[in-house]
Amino acid sequence: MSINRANPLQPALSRDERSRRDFVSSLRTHVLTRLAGNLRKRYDDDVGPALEREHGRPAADGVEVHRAIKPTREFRFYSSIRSSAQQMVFASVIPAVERSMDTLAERARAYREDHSDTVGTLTLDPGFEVPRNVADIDVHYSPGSYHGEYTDDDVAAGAVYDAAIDVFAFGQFGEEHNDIGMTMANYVRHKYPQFEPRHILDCGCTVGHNTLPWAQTFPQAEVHAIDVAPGVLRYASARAQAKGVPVRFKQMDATRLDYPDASFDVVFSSMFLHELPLKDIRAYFREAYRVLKPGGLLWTMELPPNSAMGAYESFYLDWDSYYNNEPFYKTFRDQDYRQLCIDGGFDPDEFVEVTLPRYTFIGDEAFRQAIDAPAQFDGQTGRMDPKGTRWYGFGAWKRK
Amino acid sequence: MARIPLKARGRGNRFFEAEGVDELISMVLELTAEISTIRERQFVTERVLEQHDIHVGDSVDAYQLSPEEKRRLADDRERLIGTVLRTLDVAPAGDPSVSTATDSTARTRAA
Repeated sequence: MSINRANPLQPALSRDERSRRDFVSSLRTHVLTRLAGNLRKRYDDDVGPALEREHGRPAADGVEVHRAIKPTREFRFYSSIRSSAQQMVFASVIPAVERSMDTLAERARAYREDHSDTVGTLTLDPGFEVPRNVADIDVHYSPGSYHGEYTDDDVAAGAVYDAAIDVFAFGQFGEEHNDIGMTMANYVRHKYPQFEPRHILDCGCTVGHNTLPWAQTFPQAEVHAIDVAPGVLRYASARAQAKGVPVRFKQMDATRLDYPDASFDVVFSSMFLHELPLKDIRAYFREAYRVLKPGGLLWTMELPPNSAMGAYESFYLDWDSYYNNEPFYKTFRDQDYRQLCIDGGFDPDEFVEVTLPRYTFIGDEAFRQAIDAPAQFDGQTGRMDPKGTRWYGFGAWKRK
Repeated sequence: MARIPLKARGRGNRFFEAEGVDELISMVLELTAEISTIRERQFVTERVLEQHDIHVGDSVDAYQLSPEEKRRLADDRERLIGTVLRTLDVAPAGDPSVSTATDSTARTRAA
């Protein structure tokens, strides 16, 4: 079920609204476990063997699996129910945010203006043009996408995003929805104990779920975070202030960074690149290379590349590209991530690739012991599964 | 009050060839959500009443609704029907919240 924790930046909910959110979370859990299991069984029992008979070899890739499984009853029900559930996620959170948006804007403003505990900042650019990949597409079927503004000093888009993640993730991102950030930051801390980042940048941060872990893991570092959407940034900044975590949020396009060369020790992003057109992904790598200091780390949490996954798992993860308003998702997953780094300027020998257990689920000691295991690519990699999930990360060091 | 769009832009997904099956699935899910919500509310209501030593039993069946209560329930029914059938909503003309998919979306989908 959703976590429904107390959050001063969220509206008060009626019991019925809480119940509805819990229902949608339970529905998503059912779809991604039971119905996904039915789909896999149909593939193993029938669709996969038929493909093998037809081609004289197993399925070559996810596209082949998609084409073959599409007409099955299991695919149709899995997809139709998952697609409806996705829209129900937003329908379960928007009305409460809508009726409270002025109050939320006021509360968020108060948090942002209270600097008694932290030195966090927010810098918006009134002339900023939101890129088309956000402005023109309701990504994830989020109505109005992530950049809408509805009132003065609006935080509604951030409040909707935060609440929607709560319903969507059914606890799989951790209690604070920060497991990805905690996992990726703590990997760096344990794996490279001599590396002491002083300046860290998180690109495409939305409400900062995975930004704050960097400031918490490396308290000596100055953490910057950027996004293109003003509403989520206002919310992110207020949220960080409310939690007493200092972060400098700025409205900025990650493909055109307004920072001098060699500004950062770490340039991080999570679940971000797959929402960008390929030309923007390439620009991001070039910019990341430029703003990294020599000896700095480009560090990325993403969906695993199709080349590393089996045909069925490629198909399963690419579902979102076809049916969840994420048109660039598959194109990204079809890339050679190492080559993307090289094309951005990184040395081929400096590429790093990992799969990691979830830090907040297993604890610091178990995590530390697990980080040296070779990368594993299977049905738990990059996929929300209550039985166990492994996050995928890659990046590259900038040579000194 | 400013309104946040409730329906996303982009072509709706269609997984079943027969017209209307995907919409029917959405309706069944919305209906199930409503039932789940009501069951939870009823459960909590009965527990609260018991805390006050009130055991509702037969008096629920015997209760006479006032005209105002009837109007309120009618409004609730209308809202319920609107929720269950939300998948059939179309945006008013000129509403940008339900414009068609971008070219790039359409291309990817067609691939």
